[in-house]
Amino acid sequence: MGSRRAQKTEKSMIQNLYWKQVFQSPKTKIGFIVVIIFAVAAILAPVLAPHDPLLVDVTIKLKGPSATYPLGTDQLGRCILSRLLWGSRYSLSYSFTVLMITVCVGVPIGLFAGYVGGKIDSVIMRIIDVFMAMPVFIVALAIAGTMGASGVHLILSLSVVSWAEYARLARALTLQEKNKNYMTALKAGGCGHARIIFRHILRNILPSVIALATMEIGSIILSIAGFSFIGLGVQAPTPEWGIMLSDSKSYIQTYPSLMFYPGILIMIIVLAFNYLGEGIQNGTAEK
Amino acid sequence: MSTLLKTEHLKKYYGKKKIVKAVDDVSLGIHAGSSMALIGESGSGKTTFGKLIAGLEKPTDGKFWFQGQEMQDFSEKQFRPYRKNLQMIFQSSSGVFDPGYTIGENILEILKLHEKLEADEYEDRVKEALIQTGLDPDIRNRYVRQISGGQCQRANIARALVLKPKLVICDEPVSSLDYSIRKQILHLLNELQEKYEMTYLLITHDLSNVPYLCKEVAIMYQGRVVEFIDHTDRLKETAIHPYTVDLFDSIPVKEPRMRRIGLQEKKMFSDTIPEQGCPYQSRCSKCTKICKEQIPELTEIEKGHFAACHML
Repeated sequence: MGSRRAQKTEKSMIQNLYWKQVFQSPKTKIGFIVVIIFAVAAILAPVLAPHDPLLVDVTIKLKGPSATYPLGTDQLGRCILSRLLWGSRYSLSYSFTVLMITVCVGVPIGLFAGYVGGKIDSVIMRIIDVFMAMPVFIVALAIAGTMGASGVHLILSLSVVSWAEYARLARALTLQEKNKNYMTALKAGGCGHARIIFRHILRNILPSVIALATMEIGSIILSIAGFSFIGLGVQAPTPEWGIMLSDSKSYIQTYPSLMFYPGILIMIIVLAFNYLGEGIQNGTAEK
Repeated sequence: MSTLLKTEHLKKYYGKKKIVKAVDDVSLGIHAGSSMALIGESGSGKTTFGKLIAGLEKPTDGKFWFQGQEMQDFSEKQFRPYRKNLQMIFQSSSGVFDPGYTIGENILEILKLHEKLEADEYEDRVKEALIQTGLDPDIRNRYVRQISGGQCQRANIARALVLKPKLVICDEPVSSLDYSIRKQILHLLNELQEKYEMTYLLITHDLSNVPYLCKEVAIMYQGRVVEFIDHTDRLKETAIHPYTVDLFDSIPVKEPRMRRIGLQEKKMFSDTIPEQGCPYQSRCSKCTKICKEQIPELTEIEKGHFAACHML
C-alpha cells in the first residue's frame, strides 16, 4: 500500500539522535576517546605540565628528550611537553568559544527566519548570503589590521563569518519541520508559537546542528592554528600550537622534532573530531 | 437540541490573480449530539472547511459560531480556550505525533495546555484515554515509529479525546487504514460518541462509512454544498442532485447489467472551473441553458432534504 510506504519514509526522516548508533562504529569510539583525552589534558594542564610553559632558559635550549624534559626543550629552552599541554587549552577553548558564539547566534536566527517565513525570511536570508560570501581570511586580515592581531580578535573574525552557515542550516531544517503534519496537530491542540519553536522544532533539529558543529570543530582548530602561524591570531609567547609551529620553522632542517610534535597533535585532534562528527551524523540518519 | 456549530456564507479563497474557491458560501448547522458527514471528492473543499472551523485557516468571508460564540475573527490566542471542546482527528495518523516524544508525552502536552490537574491525575487521564481507544496503556512509553498504523490511529483518537471535547472534526479518520481496522475504528468512534455525547463532523470521500456514524449528510462539490439530507437510511435512493447520484453510481458493481453510467464514463474532471453558473455544469448530464448562467440555490425538496439544482 502506498500510504504504508509513505509512513515508512516519514519515519526514516526523523531528525533524531540515536546514541547507540553513534557509537557503533569503532572510528567514532576512537574519535570520542581521543577528544576526551585532549579535553582532560587541557583541563589538567597546570597539574600535568612539569614546567612553566613560558619559563625561558637559554642555557638548555634545543635539548633532546630527558627525564626532566620528556620531549626536550625548544629554541628558548622552554619545556615542549608543558607547552603542548597548555597549547591544547588554547586550541580547544578558542574553538569551543567560536562554536558557541556561532551556534548561539546562527541557530536562533535561522529558527526565527524559517518559522516566520515571508518577507522577514527573505531579508534575513539575503543578510546570511552576504556573510556566507565573506572569505574568512579577508575578514581576519581586516580585523587584525584595524584592531590588532590577538586571540580574541581571531575568535571574533571566525565567528563573524561562520554563524551564517548555522543560520542557513537551522532555517532549512525548520522549514522542513514546519511542513510536517504534526505542526498542524500542535496548532489544533492549542500550542503557542514559543512552545512549538522551542519544545518541538528546536529539539528535532538539534541533532543535525550538533553533527555539523562537531564536524566544524576540526576546521576551526585548523583555522586558529593556521592564523596563529601566519601571525594573525594568538601572539607569541603564548604556547599555542600554531605559534609553536611558526616559531620552529627556522629549525626545520636541524631540529624537525620541534615542528613534529605540535603538527602531529593538530592532525590527531582534527581527525578525532571529524570521526566523532561523522559518527553523530550517521546517528542522526535512519535508525 | 442546541446548535453546537453554525456557519453562514463561509468562504475561503486562495490565490490573488487566479482565485481558487476552496470553500464557497457554505451555510451549515450541526446540533449537539447529532453528527454530520461532509462528503465530496478530493478538491471539493471539505478538508478546508474542517480547517476553517478548527481555526487552522482564516476564512475569507462569512461567519461561524461555535457554542454560540462568533469566532471567524478570533486570533490564535482568543481561539485557544475553545480548543478544549473542539478537537480534530487528522487523516495522517503517524504525522500527528512529534517523533521526538513518546505517545504519552505527546498526549500529555495537549492535556496540560487545557487542564490544570495534579501530577498523577494527568498520568491517569492519559492512561484512561488510551484504554478507551482499546490500546495497551504501556504504549504511552513508545515512540510513533515503534507502533503500527492501526495503533497509531487509535492513539490519534486518544489524543483528540483526552480533553473530552464537544465537537470532533474527523478528517478522513479511516482512509489510510486497512479494511479490517477501519471497521474497528468506526465502531470505536461510535461507542465513544454514545458514551461522551460527542458530536462528529466526519469528513470523508468514502460513502460506506457515513450511515454508520452520522445522522446528517452534506455533499460538497467545488467548495459548495450541493445537497443536504437529514437522515442516512436509504441514502442512495434519497439522493437527488445529479452529482450525488453520479457519486453513488460510481461505486463499482460486479454485475454487468447493473452497471450504469457512473463518473468513470463521463468527464472525470472539468478542465475549467466555470466562471458562472452551476459548478457541476461541465460534468452534468442534465445541464441546460440556465445552469450555465445562474448558480442554483440550496432549496428544500422535501422536509429535511435540500439540493442545489435548477432541474429539480
